[in-house]
Amino acid sequence: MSVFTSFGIIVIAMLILGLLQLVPGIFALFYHYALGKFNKAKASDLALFFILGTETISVLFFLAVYFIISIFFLDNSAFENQPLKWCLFAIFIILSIFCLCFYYRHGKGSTLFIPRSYPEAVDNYIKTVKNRSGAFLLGILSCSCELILTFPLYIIVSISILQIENSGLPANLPTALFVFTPIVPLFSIYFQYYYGYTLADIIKKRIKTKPFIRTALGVCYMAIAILIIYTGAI
Amino acid sequence: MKDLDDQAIIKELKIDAKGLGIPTGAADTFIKKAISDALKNLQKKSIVTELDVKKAIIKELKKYHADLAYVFENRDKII
Repeated sequence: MSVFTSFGIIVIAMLILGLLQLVPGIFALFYHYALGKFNKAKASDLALFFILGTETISVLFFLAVYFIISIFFLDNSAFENQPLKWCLFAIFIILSIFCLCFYYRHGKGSTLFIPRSYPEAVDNYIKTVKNRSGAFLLGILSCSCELILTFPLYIIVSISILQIENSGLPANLPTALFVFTPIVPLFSIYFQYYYGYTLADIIKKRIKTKPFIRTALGVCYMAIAILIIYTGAI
Repeated sequence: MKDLDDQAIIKELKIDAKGLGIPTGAADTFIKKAISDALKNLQKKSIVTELDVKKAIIKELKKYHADLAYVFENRDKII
């Protein structure tokens, strides 16, 4: 098992977290509403609490997975676990096909794979958010809804980080970079609003980048699956 | 036609307009005008659906502010 492979998996996982569109979409909508309902200072405050909620739940999920994985993989020989290897390979292949074919719905707009009742519920909830706790909760909820795509990443990154540690190298930097990646797209949208972009510009950009995002996500998941099998990452 | 909750639509459009940075006074004026024109256009039809109302409002809003019309059209298609 190469340390470079582990670093490679972490970098690809970070790329995937940076490309996922559900949380940034909800955040763009939320910030737009906040700007429409409150003054700029309060909207900015609520947006930061949304980001804090997202970051908190991402870190908690990642640490929970890391803790469980570290219990199962205390012994280095457990990394040769064949069923787990094939199981993760299958999950990443399925996710790759899912992203390539079903991540975006057909038709106009940048509608995602989630059931159509969910955006309506989110839209209704966004309209009721008035304080920091509401924004924080919205951040938590939106990040939880993306777990189907992020949970396998948390597992494989936890294993990779454990392997880096077992090889004697410090894994603090990749861990820190990984846990802060989910908020990078949110800060990107935050600064877009700050520099005068509007929801219309953001929607147009999302529609324009649809094919790229879909392909990039599919390729990244596929790359992790290939790394798992062909380089003996596990 | 009278069953249409135009106040709710006006309120939503005002929030969108402020979010887009359109001055409040101007937004109030053209939103009301766009909605009343849209409803006038729809009076010719015997059966009017929610989608018809939305399309008519978008068509009228485009005359005043393209971005607001775009956001109103695509708000439910972002996620």
